Amino acid sequence: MAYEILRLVGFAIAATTLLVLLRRERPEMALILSLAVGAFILLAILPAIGQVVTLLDTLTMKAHVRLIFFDTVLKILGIAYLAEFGAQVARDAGETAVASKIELAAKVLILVLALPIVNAILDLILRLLP
Amino acid sequence: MLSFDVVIKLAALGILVMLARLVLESIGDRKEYGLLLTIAGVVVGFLVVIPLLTNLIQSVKTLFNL
Repeated sequence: MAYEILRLVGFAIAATTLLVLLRRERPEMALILSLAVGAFILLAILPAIGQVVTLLDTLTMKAHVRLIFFDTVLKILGIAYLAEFGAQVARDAGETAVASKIELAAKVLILVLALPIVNAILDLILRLLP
Repeated sequence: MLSFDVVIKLAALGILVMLARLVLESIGDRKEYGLLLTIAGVVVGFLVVIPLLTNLIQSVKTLFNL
């Protein structure tokens, strides 16, 4: 893992140098290049995220938390990762409006996914109240 | 781990398009060829980057059960 971060930082610095060279003359090629760099770095750290997710999964099994809640949280994490990626690419290209819309869409989708959890909390509160 | 060569490829493509446009502009006013060249460069770049994006989205989908 420590070796991995050295590799990623070196990669990112090299890519940034190329991006600075390209951004002034050909902004659209710089956009594609930054897309590739972002996808590459995310792909490189996904196995580590997978380890954390596996750990959380075993913890959920041991604690006997209902699996649907954990599944929802995982889905929300995935939506957040993808939306952040897309929004950052859009913001990088100067399209802040598109970036804001992507974030809004992600928030709405996350809210929809979280509805069963909110329902469960409300049920619990109603049951606790006399 | 994935390899660095996609990024090298894209940077080389960008620099190539940049140089070709500079040459075209220095030959004469061939603005329309420059535009075509830029579009071709963008299309080729997307052809390179789309497999990477598909890979990323598939990985996130399988990891987070989307």
